[in-house]
Amino acid sequence: MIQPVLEFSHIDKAFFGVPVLTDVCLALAAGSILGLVGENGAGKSTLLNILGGILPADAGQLRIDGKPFQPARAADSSDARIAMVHQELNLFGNLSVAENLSLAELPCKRWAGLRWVDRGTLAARATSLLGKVGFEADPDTLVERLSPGERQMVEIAKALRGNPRILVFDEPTTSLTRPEAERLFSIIGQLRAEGKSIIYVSHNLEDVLRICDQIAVLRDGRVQASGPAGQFDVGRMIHQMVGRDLDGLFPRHQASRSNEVVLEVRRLSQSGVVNNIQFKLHRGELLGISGLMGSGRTELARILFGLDRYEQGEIILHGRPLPQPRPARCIRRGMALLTEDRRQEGLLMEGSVTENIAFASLRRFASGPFAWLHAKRLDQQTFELTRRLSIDCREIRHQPVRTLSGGNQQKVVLAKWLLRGSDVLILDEPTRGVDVGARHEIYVQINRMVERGAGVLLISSEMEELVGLCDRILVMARGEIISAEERENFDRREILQSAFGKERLS
Amino acid sequence: MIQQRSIGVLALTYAPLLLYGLVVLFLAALAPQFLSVANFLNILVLASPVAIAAIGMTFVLISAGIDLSVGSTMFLAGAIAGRLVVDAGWPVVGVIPVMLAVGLGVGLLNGWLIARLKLVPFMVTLATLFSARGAGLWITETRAINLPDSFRQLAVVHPLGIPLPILILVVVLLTAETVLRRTVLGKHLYALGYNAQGDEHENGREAAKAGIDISAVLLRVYAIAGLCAAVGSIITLAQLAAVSPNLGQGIELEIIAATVLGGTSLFGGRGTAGGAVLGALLVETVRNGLNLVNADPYFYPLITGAIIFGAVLLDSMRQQRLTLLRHRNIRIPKAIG
Amino acid sequence: MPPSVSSPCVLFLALLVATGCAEPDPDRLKIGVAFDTLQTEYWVAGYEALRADLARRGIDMIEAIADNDSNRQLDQIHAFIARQVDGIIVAPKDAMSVVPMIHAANRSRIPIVIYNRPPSANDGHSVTVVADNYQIAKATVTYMAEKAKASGKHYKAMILIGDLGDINAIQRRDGFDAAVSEYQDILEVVARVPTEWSQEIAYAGVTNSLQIHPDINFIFTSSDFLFSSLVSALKNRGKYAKIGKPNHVLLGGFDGDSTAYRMLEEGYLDADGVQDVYFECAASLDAVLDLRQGKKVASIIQDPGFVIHQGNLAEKKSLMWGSQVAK
Repeated sequence: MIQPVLEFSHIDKAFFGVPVLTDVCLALAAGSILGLVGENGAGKSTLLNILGGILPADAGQLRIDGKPFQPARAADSSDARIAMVHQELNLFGNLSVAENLSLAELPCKRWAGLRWVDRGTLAARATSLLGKVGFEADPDTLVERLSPGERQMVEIAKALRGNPRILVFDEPTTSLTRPEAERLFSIIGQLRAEGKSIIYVSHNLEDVLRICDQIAVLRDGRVQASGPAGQFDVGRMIHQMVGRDLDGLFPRHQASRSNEVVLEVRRLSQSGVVNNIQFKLHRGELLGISGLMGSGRTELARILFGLDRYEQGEIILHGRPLPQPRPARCIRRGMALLTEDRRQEGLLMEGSVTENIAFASLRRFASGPFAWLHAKRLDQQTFELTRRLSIDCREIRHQPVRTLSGGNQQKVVLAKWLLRGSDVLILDEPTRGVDVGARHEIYVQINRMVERGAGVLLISSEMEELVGLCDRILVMARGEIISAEERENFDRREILQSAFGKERLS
Repeated sequence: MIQQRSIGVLALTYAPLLLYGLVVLFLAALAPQFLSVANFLNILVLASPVAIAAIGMTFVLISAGIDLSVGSTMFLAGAIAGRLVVDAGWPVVGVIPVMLAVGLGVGLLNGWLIARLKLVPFMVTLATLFSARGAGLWITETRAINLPDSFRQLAVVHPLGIPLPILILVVVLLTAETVLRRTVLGKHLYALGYNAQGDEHENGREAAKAGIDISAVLLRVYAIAGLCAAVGSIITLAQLAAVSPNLGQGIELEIIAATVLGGTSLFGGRGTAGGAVLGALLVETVRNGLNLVNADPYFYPLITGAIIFGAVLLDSMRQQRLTLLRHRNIRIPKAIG
Repeated sequence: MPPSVSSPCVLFLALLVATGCAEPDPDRLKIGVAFDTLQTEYWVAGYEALRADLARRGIDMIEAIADNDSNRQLDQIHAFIARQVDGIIVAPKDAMSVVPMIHAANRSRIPIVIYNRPPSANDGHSVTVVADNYQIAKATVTYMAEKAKASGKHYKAMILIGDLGDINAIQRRDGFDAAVSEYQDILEVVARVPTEWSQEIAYAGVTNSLQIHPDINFIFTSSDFLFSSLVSALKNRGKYAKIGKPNHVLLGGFDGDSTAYRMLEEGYLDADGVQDVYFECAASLDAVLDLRQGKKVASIIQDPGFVIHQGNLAEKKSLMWGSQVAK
């Protein structure tokens, strides 16, 4: 076998006596792509942090080209030409693309005691880096004016700055639309062709299967399986990740759609955002909305929940019109919103699990002139919910939600609305950044709510999720609903085509 | 059909300019004497100390900090200058570098406490606000110092036919604007103040990850604010020909209001030196207008309150708009096709 | 009284005095003096005059300066009470903040005298010593107006108004208005400049007003402490000239500080309303001591003050506190 570029050998790491990584051995061959999969908390980030020089390993060795490598600082790692493309985008929106690309080492000339930015070199460097990822943008554009996909391109270009030989992609597709992800894959392929070695971390198992040469599955800090991608399939990976079989990734609910309409939207318009939106959501129905990022789907959800305004049209909730929705009014009338951005719209990050779950239902547990809280009853019910949703936390009364994993945070939001008894749910990318196991549990809970008579609106970029779960799918493009498909007529290709407004995908 | 920028965003972006235009039109209609070159120059001269200090404040606010000590710094520099001129008989030319050094010193102290000891800017500069005023009162023994006429000449001379304070203002403005736009310091400063999550606690964390030496930037930022305050103090002294014990008292609020009015955000990451000057001009123009129409004295505090309220309202609206914009990804990416 | 009895008494008293000089005498009177600020020469002069007067009378002075912080001043008054002072003289920040201090002193039966800033209506017992701001301002402006009338010209007037929260500033403005209203045929008030007792704001206000009314030729400032701003602005316009020169502006001030004294001496200033600091200090001390002995004291003692002008300068200057500071 050829000498691997990078080797993890017998790596151990524990936090406060709790082992996070145990005897991890992995090898990355030159010019190949290693896919790293595992549930959240399986130890992927810790492993990457050790590689990046942010955490030291307790035991074991890293080797580059067979030589021991002990990064003590982030700089050591970049000196060894290892570059990370992070999941969260570390870009500065108020600076231009070119400035972001060279921020830490801006080219400059000294004059009058100040370092003046050499704009010619800056622009030239930016053009060459952007060229490598095939992204043609004006280097002077402010980053905040770029789409998430474009920002991801800039992020990759930034990682290429030190001419790295090892590139680590950590969940690079979470904020990308499908075509943007495709674009990313072709760049990754190109980088491999140039002889770079790549570690690719993702929750999207199909992507991993498609683009990686080698795959390693981590569970509870151990390498559960590793080998050429050809030996794996999605089912096997899931089995190895969660240690049990899931009866299909996308469970179907058992409810039948009733004729009762819980939410009706008539000719809803807001210029520049959505145009002439009409649909009905029935009791016991799971209605999907597909569309590209920027198609207006998230904006629609925000308008329905009263976070943004609308100019024309009607929103009818439980048969009564909702002329000027405000979140408080929507919640009171049984509507709930769950978004990908838990931090901004769903949760009080410093609050405990119990507090967050109870938050929307306090009134139900209060009585008397001073709204005295029945703490015990509240406690019981929230506790039961955390059990039912198997929210994984040490201490539900004191542990801040901030410390939970993404999947568990999302479950807390779900539990909040369950307790509230909401029966019109709007879910905007509920499983983004959530690992497979937790994802399945979330699906099960969504289904259970549908079965209990709720109407659910599921917005998602993942075609599989929509096709697997929904009764009906609406496709949005450029602020309008382009088509509506019943479950028996689901056709991925058609849906995708509608999402692109027909003419773009040929 | 999906527009990139609504009229609202445009209006918010150019709000300072629009507001200034409105105020000018209104005053011109009210008092015909308002619209004269002489009066405009007069406003510029009167506004220059606050405008220059506001330019320094711009740097601080972009870093998502605040400097409450500028008013006291102006006083301390003035107090030392006053004693040197009156009691030690120093010439005016010799005193100016001393004043600049005092401003720089207070600024560096602020910067050191904030950057190296990681103390909260609000508390640090509140402490220097009290200390610097206390030191100044001690130096002057709480007495007003009347300066010789030679000091006043600084405010009177017209090199190139333009009053010196305006020339100084223009030089400071151009320097600050190029530093912000064209230097490594400027770029790092904007990055430092940028706050991707809208989360207070994360300020600067992103910048540190990007490999920026945050303390070096902060140290310079507060030094610049102190230096600008000292320049403002020199012009004020030249105008008043006196140092009174309440010189610069409360002026930090006017300076911050002017800076924010000019489009610099209290949340950090945004702002221009030109905006700060515009904000200072706006404040001074309103005062000039009130003087011109001989308004009821009880009217002045109302207007001052309205200006500060307007500044904060504007900033908060702008911030909300921008957060909204960040939420919405209303562009079909052009790179993908 | 037979001499046989008195001589041991005298001896005893003499001994007492002798020991009192050697170390602080617990029986010596203590008076607490709390000033809100020493920010202008006027306050410094009052403070120094009180100190000198107390020393002359052999009374200890306990000092406290609150630096514009009325809460701190209340704490200082409580500290005085805890130290069992024999009397309190307080120069408060404003009319409201002094009321709880009066109540605190009343509860402990310590006499309290309010110096220069009268308290708002309250049910406590205190004595206020204050200049008759209204009358002094009115007399000063009336003198200026008479002078204006004598010249036979028409005048455009400007007033610099103090902080609108300061009742003294308001009374001086009212005095100005009352005086001016009687000379409407020759005087027109074209500019009322609020200064918030700040030199910078005063300078900007005067500059702006002179910009629009270059022909202003009658200016009254509610405090001498604003003269430096006023003079700078006038100089920039070439309007600062001695009395008798054609471009002279009739100038009047209030307080009697050293700048005003110098301007009078040099012939720039026409008239100045003087607060009689020495009278005010002596009256405050007398009041505290009288109250302590249970005598009746009027609740307001007004300092009538006086107007000093070119005509009575030689005669009155020794009474003007600014002339002492200027030395």
